[in-house]
Amino acid sequence: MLHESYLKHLVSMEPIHLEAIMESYGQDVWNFAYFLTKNRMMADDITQDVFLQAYRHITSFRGEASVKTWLLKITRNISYNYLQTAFIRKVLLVNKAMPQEFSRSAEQAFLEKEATNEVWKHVFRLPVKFREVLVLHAKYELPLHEISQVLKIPEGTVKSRLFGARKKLSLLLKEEWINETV
Amino acid sequence: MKPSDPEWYDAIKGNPLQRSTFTDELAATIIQRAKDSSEHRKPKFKQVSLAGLGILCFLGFLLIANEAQLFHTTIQPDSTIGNRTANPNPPVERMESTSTEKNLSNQSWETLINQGNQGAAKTFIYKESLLNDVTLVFSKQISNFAETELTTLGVNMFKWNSSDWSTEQSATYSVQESDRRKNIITAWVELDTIPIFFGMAPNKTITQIRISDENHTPYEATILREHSGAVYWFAALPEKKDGYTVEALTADGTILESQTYYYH
Repeated sequence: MLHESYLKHLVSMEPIHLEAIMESYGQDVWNFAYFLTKNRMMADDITQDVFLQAYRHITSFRGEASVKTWLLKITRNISYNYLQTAFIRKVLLVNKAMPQEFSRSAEQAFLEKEATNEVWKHVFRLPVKFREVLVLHAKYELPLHEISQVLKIPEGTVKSRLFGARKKLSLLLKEEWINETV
Repeated sequence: MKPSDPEWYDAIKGNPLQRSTFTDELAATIIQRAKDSSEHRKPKFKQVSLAGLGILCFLGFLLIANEAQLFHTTIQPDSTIGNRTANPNPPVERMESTSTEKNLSNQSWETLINQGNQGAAKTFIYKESLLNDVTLVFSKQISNFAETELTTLGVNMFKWNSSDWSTEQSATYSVQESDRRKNIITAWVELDTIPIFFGMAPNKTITQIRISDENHTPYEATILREHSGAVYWFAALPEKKDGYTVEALTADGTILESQTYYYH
């Protein structure tokens, strides 16, 4: 594993550095792209773009935050870029070939089958602004100030969104528990 | 888990899906793409060693050609308003080129950017002065290796140090063959905190390139048309913002291409 203090002094990255970073953070990046897009193909594409971006712009990593936070910030930027632009084009293409709902339900069916547990299924039902703040805090265990950097919002807003996300998910889980016991 | 965290927090510590989705195949694709871009990015010395004597002969030819100004190209700017913007693979170089005159001709700038240059000659395309003491010089470099023509676009930043111009930083972008099928080729870089965007426009119907920052403040790139028909563009922006959208427009205002780039 590459030491972060080494990375921040690199002017250009070699493929061997990239391999080391991907070994440590590849799944984290893919997961975050998937949390944001809920689309496996898009998560694959975004993951490629994230690591190529990191490879080409290693000088933008200056060690102010961790490598993980730096990569997650890139992932979010590229994911939103995809959602705003590429996604529109892809949906248009999907519409030509098959109904959009079919594509969505295929992803939903995949999630229902492959999700590790029931809590994750509910996480994916949250609005994206709740989903992203929750996973950055709970799964990636980023401190609030780093979540604020990744999401480009004030720390106070992070706290209020996190509060909202936890409340919403707790409600969803409670409803499920009630339904199961009835 | 902290005591204040909900009890279900532990359930979302691991992977959301049962299978590993960052596969070896995906990793291999990324490595291959990175290697491909490296081949185009910093090939000079590696390729010289591979091509051996043939390349040395080629370099010798370039030296003679440069003396005879065979490669001098006249470029007509569409606009002189231009300013501001970007590049993805900027191997930053530091050089010692200097000049003791402040007002230089384009030919003199070309001489300056070629000082210490060991590869194919760089051709001046455009210059832009910032604050009177900083000049950005946009250039191209055509290399021929193994019957393949490789175009490298470059930007050199010169600073006036009371008596001479010296190069502080520079960045290059290698145009890939696949780039030439695009409407617009965009490179972006930050030199000494100045965001710079530059590139080419393979689609000749493009007459305007507009760059907007995250506050939707628009900047117009300078479009430069070469007599050969090649179209280049350049823009240096006043301050760094997190994201910029580059739009390529036709004469009737149709947006042919729109892409957002982020400085991280």
